[in-house]
Amino acid sequence: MIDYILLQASASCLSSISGFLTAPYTAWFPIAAIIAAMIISILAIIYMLAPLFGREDIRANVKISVYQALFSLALIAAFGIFSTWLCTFNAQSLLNAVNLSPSNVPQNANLYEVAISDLYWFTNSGPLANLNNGLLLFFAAMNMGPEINFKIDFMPGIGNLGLKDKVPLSPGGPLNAFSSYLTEGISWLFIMNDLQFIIISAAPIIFAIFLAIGLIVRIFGPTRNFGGALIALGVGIGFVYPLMVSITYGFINNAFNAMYSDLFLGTVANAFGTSLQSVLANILTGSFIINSIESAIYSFANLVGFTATASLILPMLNFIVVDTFVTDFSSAFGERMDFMSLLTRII
Amino acid sequence: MRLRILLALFIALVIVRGAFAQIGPDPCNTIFGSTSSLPGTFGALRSASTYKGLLGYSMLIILSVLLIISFLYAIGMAFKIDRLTSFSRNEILENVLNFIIIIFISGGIAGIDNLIVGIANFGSSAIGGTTTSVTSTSSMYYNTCEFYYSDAIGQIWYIVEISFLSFVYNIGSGFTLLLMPNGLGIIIQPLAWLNALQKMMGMFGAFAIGIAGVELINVFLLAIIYYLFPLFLYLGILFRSFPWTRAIGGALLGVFISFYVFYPALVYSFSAIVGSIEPVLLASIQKQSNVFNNVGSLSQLSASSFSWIIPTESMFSLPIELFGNVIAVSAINVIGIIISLLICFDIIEAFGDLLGAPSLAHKGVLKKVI
Repeated sequence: MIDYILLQASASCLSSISGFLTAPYTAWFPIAAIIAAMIISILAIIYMLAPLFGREDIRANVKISVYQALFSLALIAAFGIFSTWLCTFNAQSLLNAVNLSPSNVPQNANLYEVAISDLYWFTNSGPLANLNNGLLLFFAAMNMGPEINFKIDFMPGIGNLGLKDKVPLSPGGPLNAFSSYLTEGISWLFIMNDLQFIIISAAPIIFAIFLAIGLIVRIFGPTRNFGGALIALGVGIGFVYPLMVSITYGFINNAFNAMYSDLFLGTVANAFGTSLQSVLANILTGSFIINSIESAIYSFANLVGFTATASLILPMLNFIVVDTFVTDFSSAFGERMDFMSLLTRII
Repeated sequence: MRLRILLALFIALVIVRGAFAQIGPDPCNTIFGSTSSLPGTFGALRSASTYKGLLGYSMLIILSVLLIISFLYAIGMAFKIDRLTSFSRNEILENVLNFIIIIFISGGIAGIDNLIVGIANFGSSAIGGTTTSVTSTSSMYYNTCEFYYSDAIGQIWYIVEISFLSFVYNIGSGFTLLLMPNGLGIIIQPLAWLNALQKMMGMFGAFAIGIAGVELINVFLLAIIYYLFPLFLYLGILFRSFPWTRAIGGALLGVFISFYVFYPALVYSFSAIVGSIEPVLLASIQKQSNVFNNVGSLSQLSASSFSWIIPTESMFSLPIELFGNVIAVSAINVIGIIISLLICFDIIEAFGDLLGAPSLAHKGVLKKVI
């Protein structure tokens, strides 16, 4: 599945001229440039014909629109170059140089491929997947013991006159309620991650469409603010959000790899020790049983804490940064847009 | 032959006495320790262990931007481009202002940080508690991490003990006296009332899980803040240097100052005060860190439950007292974390007003997060 997703991400982001003109991601910029050129032509005709009808006021307004249209054309060219650079830029090397790109990311990947790879690894091979598998093992271990039923008859031969009780030898009974909380929590974490997948997958197209429409719409006076807000939203979701995901999830995945053997997989080493002396001590005294149970509990607690923190805090942090960017950038370019309110209303 | 085997075992025990395995991987040492195994982020721009390190890189960014703007100013003056000259003049002044802001805020905040830590140490020493010396940012993070992690592990052990008690009560409540020969008679379950205690255990367990979860999340949140948030400082200064991105830069600076500086200081203060009063509160309750080493109190609970057919008040009050007090102390830690977060969100909004970031200045950050 990851190969399909990466193929789609790279297919929408081609580096050749023909690919640039026809790819669903970058083709919007040539279309927007053609529309802007057509608008400039129409405005130029109106500018020339206005004095013939004695409408100098229209001429003055059209003059401003022509300048705005030329500025939009320049912005279309600039953003088109930026989007091509974004597709071809080797984000994987740069992030690898600052230890923010784990080994699972393909070589020479662009920003969107890095973001998708990081998210995919986190969900399907990294902390979330490990927690899911660990929970299954935990539940199985807690419920695999037998149950002893005993019954004592006061008088042999006469049934249902005596005592009975049952002793479950697995601790699963009281702990099952706790594991159900965890299972429900993990389901919500998977949902949050899938939401991010959807946004990341649509990021290149949103970048292209919103920017193209915003740059065209901001030519005209009444819609200038709306166009600026669309530009800010496009840049926020299409560039800032994948960048934040690449940085934050790259760090978390690297941290998980670095801490995996120390914090999450140290059960055997912690139970028996790392020296012959400690191994002998633990076997002779039988404390390896207690040590292994304790160590397993510590490791599971660390895994739960790490995964819950990463799954809750990172999406929140990424959305806050994108919201900050979109709100402040849209205020500078046009109408103030509140990204988080928009997202919560959609959800 | 048997004597030789016994002698060999005795010698082995003497040799290996004391050489026991290390239990419990400690994430705080792994994350904040001097030999941390986490890769330094941003290569050469490692997260500094003191404010001085962060300040150095921030000044570097401001100087770089000032150089570029000075160059533009020189071009404007040389070619008589008034617009470029006035723009560059304004930007130079803004960057000088950035410089002053960084010095003032960092210095002032470092002072506030020390003040908060000092108040916490004074408060805990006044009630007879012990304090840990904090000499740098990393030591503050480390001490805070250790406190909350050890408390979270303590809660997890209470969950294990609660499970063990529930296991015992489950067996007891299922004890049945059959008095129905030939299928006609009565069935008596004299200890069925233990189900009430079992449900009580379940309720305490839910509280303990919630507290442990919040504290564990706090531990790893500190790690994310420590390693990732310096990025916001550098980006904030860079963005604040240009007019179109000034508001964004202000917002990022606000986020950095609030969470990197104030949040660990606040949670450290809570941990220092609670850590000092905890021994006093729990003086009458034996701290149970290992269920297998503290069978005494558990057997007392179990024996008291089984020694009477008719339940008495003490059988219910003993577990309530034991677990309620412990959970109450840890609940104070959780309240401390929540209060610290609320204060930090308020600080973000204050800095939004100060630095001209409309995204933070409209009292909506916490609402958006929720």
